[in-house]
Amino acid sequence: MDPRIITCLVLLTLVIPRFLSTARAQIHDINSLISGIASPQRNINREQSATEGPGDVISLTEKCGGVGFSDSAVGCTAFSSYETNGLNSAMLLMIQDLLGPKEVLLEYFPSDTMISISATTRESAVICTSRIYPGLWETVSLFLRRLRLADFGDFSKQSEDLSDVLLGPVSMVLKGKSRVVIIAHDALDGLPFEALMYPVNGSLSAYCRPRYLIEGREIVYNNSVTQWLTSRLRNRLRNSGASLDHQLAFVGFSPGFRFHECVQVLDQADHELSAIGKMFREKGKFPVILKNENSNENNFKSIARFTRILHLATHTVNSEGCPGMTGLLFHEFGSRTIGNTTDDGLLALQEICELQIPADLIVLNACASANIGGRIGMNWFSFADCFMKAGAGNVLCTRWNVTDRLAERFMVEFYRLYLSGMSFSKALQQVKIRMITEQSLSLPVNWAAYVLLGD
Amino acid sequence: MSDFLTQSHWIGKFTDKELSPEEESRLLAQASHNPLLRNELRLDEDINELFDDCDRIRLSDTIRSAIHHEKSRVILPLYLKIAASLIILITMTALAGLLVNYSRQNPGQSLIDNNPLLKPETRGLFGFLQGFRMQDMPATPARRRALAMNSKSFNSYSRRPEYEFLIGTATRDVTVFVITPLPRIRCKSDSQLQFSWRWVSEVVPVSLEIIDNRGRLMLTASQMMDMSYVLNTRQWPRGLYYYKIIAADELVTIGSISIY
Amino acid sequence: MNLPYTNEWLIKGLMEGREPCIKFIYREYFPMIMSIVGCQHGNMEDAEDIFHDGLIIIFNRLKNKRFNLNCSLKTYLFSVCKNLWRRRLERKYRLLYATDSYVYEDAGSYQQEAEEEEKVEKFRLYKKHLNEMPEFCRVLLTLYISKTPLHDIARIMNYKDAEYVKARKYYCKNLLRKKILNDPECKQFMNYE
Repeated sequence: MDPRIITCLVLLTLVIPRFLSTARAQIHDINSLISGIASPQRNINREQSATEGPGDVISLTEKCGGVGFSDSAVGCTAFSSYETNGLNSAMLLMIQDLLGPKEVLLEYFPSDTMISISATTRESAVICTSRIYPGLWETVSLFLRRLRLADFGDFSKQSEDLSDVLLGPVSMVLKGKSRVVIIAHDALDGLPFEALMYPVNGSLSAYCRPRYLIEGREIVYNNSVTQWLTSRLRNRLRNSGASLDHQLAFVGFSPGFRFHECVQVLDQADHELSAIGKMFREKGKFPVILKNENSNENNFKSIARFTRILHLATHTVNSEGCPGMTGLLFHEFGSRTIGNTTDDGLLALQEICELQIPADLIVLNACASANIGGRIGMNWFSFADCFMKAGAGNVLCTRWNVTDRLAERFMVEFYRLYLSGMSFSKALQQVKIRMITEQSLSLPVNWAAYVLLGD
Repeated sequence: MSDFLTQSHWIGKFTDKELSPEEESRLLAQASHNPLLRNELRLDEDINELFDDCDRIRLSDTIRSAIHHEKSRVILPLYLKIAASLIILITMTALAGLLVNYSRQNPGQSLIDNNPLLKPETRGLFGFLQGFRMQDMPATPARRRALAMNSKSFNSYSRRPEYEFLIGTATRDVTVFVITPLPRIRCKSDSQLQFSWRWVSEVVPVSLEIIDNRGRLMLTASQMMDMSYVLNTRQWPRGLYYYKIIAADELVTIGSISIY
Repeated sequence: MNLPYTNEWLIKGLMEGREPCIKFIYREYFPMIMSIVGCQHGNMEDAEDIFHDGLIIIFNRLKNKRFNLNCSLKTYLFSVCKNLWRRRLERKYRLLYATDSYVYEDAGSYQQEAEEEEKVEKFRLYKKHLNEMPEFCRVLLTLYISKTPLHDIARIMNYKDAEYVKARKYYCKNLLRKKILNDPECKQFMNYE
């Protein structure tokens, strides 16, 4: 026989078993992961989240009465039947019923030694743990700082470490899911999960390019499960057509601040609202754009509850030492005495909470509108929390300072995608993906600033 | 008939039977006395007879060309065939090994154990050899920035598009109001630049960072409670720099300084 | 890789003059012929000539329907080539008769085969000389042998007319005759005076 034929036969006998063994190993690994489930063991104590308001201290774990987890550093426990353990599964069932088929709800509970992660999907509920290694919180701080301050590089070291701890334990749950609802408590609150590295399709081939989490999944944030439940139920009610209060499709406020001494002029804010208004008109919807002197607090309070989408392109002011000086600015800011809560040009937290704004979406296109806030009573609230309490279905806000130019670019693109038929979270994801691919906008300081709270 | 050409004509015509009976008889009479002529006549008839069959001539040509082709064909000796087979085997095995490693997937366990998700490693042939750490794929934004920096056209005055986008635009925050400098400055290498600001809502520490266009930190002045800072560029190499003014860990503004 | 041709296929290929069949026959059977000729004071060229003549003989017999194959083509070709070479040696006085001399029962057939083989050998020699002629003669005679009309030959070779072609043909044939008559190899089997 020709030696070349012998060569080919030898090659086939060597290669085929290798393929088969690889396939078998994969199946074995998946099976071992699924079968490695421990029964509930004991309870843990969890610190109450400072971001939750009075009466809102309800989380999956507390409602269910306890959490069981394995003793390993990273382990997952599945709760297939709460009834057998004597736990209340009503909340879990409600959550699972409201979740979409491709949605997963992740809730993070950091404690002293480990982070508990509850991952709930329509089909399952899993609680995993991830051990806190020394220096984790420094890593979180460094990661946040580098993002905020527009450092070069993709902070891969920090991103990898955090992804390992926060996403690694729930990677199996994330597989096949295109939408993630993240509830992060305590030290993890405010962490931009979308800037963590994660493969798009879950493939861990040696040649897979690591990407940002946002590139493969829509991300929505909430401060608590209750907030998410409320928002989801509210939106479902609205979508069913029960509420007829909304008359206006879009209302935008742009004070501009052209003649203010101590406030930077927002040159791009006017252009932002003009462009957005034009897009709404082209779609046959009638927007209301209020600029300069028309963009005042009085008009805001009057018109806010009659709109589906409320857009604020303005400054925030934050003063921890003087709570009355924390709020959103309107045109008349500085011309009247602060403290005249009816019309002083500063929309404070307390005022927001007293309003009724049942809008589908409120856009707070100002600096750090998700993080700036203050205490009301015993609890701390951000602007976004206040607007959610006021009845908004969703709030699009920023984690840190954004430039005027970026704010204009981002929101015009967001509305363009939304008006093309995408949902809020999908449009937000797509805007971020486009920015990641564009070199001048690829720094996370630009696209990771914006977050969507709600549904 | 002593003429050569005339003789060949006569022979040819005789063979082709184109002579008249008289000419033929005259030729035969001559041939009876001339043995050479007789030979020629006989040979001519032989030639005609043998060349009468075209198929045979064609076959003869085919046999000759086949022999010539087979003789010129190179037949490798056995040892060369074996060597060629070994080379083929090694090449195909290497390709097959790469293919197996490329398709290998193990999501959960890999994240937990080896973290190849973020730092993928390739294993050697059939896992016998130790793998090497793979570099970042070029598609990440950071990698693109690094590649742009390493290109030949990148010099000390090359602009960074990521920062250029942020220059000359205010942030939507009123904690700190920056008075000087302007967003873009050009100055000589021996200059003094003044950075000044004013607090709007409350006094917070202000930091100043200056980096070159490759991202290297040149200067940092942290937690300043003054309202100004003076920078002396005497020892600074010529080139393009970016400055960041930071207040309470938030970016207030970015600008550029071009030193010539 | 050599494909296995059957006897029938080879014979058909030989009749039609197909080159793959002839190449196969050469690859498979020529070493055997080479061994016959080489063992009996012959060289490579002699072996190729014998191979060529053997195939032509088989072709003639196929054409004249005198072919009666009771064994494989290989064996038949072997016997034909062996006899050819023996007669050639007899003619060249190189061979002392071997003990395995071939004896025909039928003397008539022996004579017939001898004539046939002589014809084939003549044909090969004449063909050899034809290939060594000047190109215009070779082309002209080749066209003439393939029964091309004279006026077509004139057009192909850019001659004046058919008469001129005829004159050139006589000239070329005369040349060919001279070459053949001057070849000592041809003289061996020509019973010329």
